[in-house]
Amino acid sequence: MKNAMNYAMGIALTFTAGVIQADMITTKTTCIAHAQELNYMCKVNLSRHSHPVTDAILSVSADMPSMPMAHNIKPVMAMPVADTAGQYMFVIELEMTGQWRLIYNIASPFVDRLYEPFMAGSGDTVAHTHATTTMDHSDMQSTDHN
Amino acid sequence: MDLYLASVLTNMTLIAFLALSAYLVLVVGEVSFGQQAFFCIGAYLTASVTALAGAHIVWGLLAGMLAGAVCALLLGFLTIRLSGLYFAISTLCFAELLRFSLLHIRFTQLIDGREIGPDGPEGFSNIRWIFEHNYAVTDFLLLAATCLLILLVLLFGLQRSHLMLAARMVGNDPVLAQSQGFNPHRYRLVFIALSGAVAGFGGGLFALFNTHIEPAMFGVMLGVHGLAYSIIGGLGTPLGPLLGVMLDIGLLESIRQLAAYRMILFGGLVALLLVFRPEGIASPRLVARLRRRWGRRRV
Repeated sequence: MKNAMNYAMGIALTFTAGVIQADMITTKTTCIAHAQELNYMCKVNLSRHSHPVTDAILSVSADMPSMPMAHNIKPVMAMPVADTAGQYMFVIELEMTGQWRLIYNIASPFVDRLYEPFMAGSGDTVAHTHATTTMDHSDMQSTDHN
Repeated sequence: MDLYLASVLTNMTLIAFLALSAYLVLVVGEVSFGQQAFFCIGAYLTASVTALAGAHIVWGLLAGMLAGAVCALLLGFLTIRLSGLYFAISTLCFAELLRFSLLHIRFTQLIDGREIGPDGPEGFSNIRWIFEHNYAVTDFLLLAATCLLILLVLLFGLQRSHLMLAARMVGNDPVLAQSQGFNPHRYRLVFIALSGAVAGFGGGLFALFNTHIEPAMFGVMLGVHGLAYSIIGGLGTPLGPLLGVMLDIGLLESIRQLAAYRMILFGGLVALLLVFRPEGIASPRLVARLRRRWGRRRV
């Protein structure tokens, strides 16, 4: 009986893990300061349960968590990078230095919105590379968020 | 409609709720730096009711509105003997206390394979109502604008009421109001509770639109913006705070070249208005004058 219970629990846990995995959408962004201090050229890897998402219609915007609704950055379309599956490139211009969050609006192949924290203008004006953050949409974990 | 424009207009509509809540406190002669707290309470509660409990947004928004009103009323009771600077500081303290408390509140549940619920500094994610109901930005703008319009109609209805006239009298001179038989504490409590309800409702809409909220969003800057919009716009009419919102987000948003200097411009604008129009653009005096002129024309 005890073995049967353990077995059932094992199956249930496997099933639950499968469900979590099924909905896990991640973004991994790397940005380099481009031309001006607050103009960034970024590359984002979009994946769904560890598989790259190709041919996505992805637009990127940004806002400041400390001043919600007051700063509106015009969305830019992220273009797929030719030789890397699931990688997209975009150039975004922010308004001021400080803590921003990149907003990824996915219109296709599924509809979703992802957020990734981003620190703008940390002083490195030549080639600022943002620390890579991985955001799991199901729990919004990130390495440098707050 | 362009999605970006729809998004900006939605943000303007949402922050107008906060500005109107600050306006209601200003009417009774107090300054609140803590309206973002009720906005935050509304946002978290609406998110919990819709995303965690799976209830309809009507219940979520009503719960947010009610919670905002109850918390504002409690704060009003606690600060009943405070006024002026002391009241302003106490509201700010309450808002910051709430924000820091949220950094430690973790209550997530696994629903359909997603972790939903407040998760400390990571915030409350997966508020997926707009995705589940296929709400485009323009649809949400329509919903938020309709709610704002209803609120404005209610506030305009209140403008000529005994309640509003008494509240304005309390705001102008509480001693004189008391000598006329009006209890200043009662009117203050009613308007603080109303302001909490308006902020809570707006916060709920904000959570639904954003799909992710976090404590960092409800900092002092949000409250200062809401308050500044009311002061810039003027207290003569409920349209005053909306004028403030339009002036900051609408006008400055349209001059994208000045984006980097936006906060300086906004600060300068507030300073100029306080010097030349201390009662705001649509000041009570201006509104009364316009109303008289309008009345004469109709006669």
